[in-house]
Amino acid sequence: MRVDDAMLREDPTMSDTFLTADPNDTFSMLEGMLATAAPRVRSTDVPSVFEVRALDVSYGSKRVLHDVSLDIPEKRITAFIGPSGCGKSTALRCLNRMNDEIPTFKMRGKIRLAGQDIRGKSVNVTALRRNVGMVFQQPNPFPMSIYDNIALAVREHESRIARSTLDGVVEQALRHASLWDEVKGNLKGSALSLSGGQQQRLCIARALAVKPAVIMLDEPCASLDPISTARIEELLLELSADYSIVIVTHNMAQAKRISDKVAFFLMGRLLEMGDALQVFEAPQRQETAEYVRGAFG
Amino acid sequence: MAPNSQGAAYSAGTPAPEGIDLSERVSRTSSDRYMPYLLGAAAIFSGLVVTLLIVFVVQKAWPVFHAEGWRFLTHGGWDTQLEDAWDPAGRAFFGVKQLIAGSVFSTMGALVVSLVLGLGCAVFVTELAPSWIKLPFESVVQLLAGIPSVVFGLVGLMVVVPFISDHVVPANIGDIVPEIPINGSSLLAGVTVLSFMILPFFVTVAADSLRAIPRSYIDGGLALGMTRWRTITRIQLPAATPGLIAGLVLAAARGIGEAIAISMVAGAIAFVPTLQHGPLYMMLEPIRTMASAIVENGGEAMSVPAIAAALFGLATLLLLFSISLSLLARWSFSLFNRRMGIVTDRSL
Repeated sequence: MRVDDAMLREDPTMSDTFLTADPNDTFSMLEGMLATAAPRVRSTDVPSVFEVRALDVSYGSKRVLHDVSLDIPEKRITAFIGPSGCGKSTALRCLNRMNDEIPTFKMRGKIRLAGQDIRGKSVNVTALRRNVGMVFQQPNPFPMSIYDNIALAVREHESRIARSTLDGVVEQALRHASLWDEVKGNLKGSALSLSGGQQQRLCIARALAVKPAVIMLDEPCASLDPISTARIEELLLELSADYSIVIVTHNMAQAKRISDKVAFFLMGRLLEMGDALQVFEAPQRQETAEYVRGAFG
Repeated sequence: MAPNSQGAAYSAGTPAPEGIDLSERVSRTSSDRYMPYLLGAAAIFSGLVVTLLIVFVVQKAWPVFHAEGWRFLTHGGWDTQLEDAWDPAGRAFFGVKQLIAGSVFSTMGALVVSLVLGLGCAVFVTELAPSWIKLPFESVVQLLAGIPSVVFGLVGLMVVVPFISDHVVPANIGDIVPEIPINGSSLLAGVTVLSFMILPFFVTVAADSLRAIPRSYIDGGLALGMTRWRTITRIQLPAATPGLIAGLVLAAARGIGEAIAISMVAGAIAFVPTLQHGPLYMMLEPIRTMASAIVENGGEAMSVPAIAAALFGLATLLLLFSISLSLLARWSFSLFNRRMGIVTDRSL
């Protein structure tokens, strides 16, 4: 696999398309999607935010992950791909210890976030999850106002925050999630009255509001229409300048459009991991080639 | 180009697929035809009975409303009025203020107690209890709902009233509260007994509404770094509030109509407890509720037309209370459903 140095630099035409695209113009958005249909190229030779070593996971007697070791690059988009039940969501949920909620969950191996063992004795799960935000497959805004959805998250970590400061944090989070212009007149309205795509961006805003380092998304577009999906992808590309992003998806096209690094899971094993271009264009394993080609899954 | 059952040319001369006959007879269609009428008749009959019952009660109560007007609600003196009404020469006069106060105080008191206890039970059983405790615990709570109210009354009479009399009522009570005899049969005893009677109604509805909170809300809270306890207090309970209110309202409807047990433990004296001597003594004062007044005088006193009309007047008030409570419960259920994203125009 040869990759030109020029290709490793960020493709300027691509990001221009996203900056100039009018979000309300379907055509230019779809054009934007087409512009990124080929794997994007951005160097993944950057420090790792997460280091996973020899991760074994089982639920009761059922083994779901075998000896997974991987690195998540900082301020890049890493995609976990693979067919249903391959363990990609489980791997994701290990990173913020969401699996701890499941009584039968057992794991072995090491997971380090910024060099610190996330299962260490001194680790506070609350602090871990504040640093590692998560967005779910089904948009899950809380049944309260748009404002309160974000304020609740902020107050959880800064209980004495002044109202005026809080207003600013809420606005900034909504702006980062490119939702502000759509909801600024209706902050007191119910979050449940938003469309599915808006709800998902609200969930992203909620995750951003507590200033995480990593944002994990578990099939965030699975229940969304193509336009909403395009807006989320555009948003993730923007956010990847400041945040490390891990996305689970079984949408190959999506992984191609947005990811810098790809991890291919199959039956609980990490079969292949590499730069997006390499995995999609020159996979090293037969199974990867068949999967990215659409032969199964 | 309409398809026909012969399967002949149906599109550009190709034969239609075989084996599809839309006029085929399917058995059991006759029951489909008659069931709506049968069930409709049953529904109309039930509705008619309820309507007639309301009409009957209001009509029987009419004389007392006509004679007393608003005084029926704003004046007191029930116990002496009852005795006066037996005198054929005297003019019957009725005011049920104290009975309304008795019903409202006892029900409100029981609601406060069962809100606190019930919320604890509901959160424990839905969120915190290990599964081997859950089932027996829930069965016990539901069993409470099935205990006949006279049994509650009996236990109250044999245990709660003597306990209050021996351990709560001070010896010099006659000096502190001179206007009324205080002997343990009290608002406090009524509230205690009523609380356990309405508790299961609240716990069942509260637990159901907590269970209806989607798991995704909890995950969303945990993923933001909230502890399990914080997700309960900050997300689940607020989300379940309309359901909790509906549960309280149902419990209130149950409590306001309760007659026997209250009658056995609350003193059966028409009296409005006051804060004049402080909250403790208020709780120790006796009460009589609307429902217990009906059950206590529903026998031979009904032969006196004025008393009969007054009792039907009480029944009318009880009906009004329970109708408005059930409307309130409906409203909060629909609010809850909307909040949970369950959009329905078939809410019952």
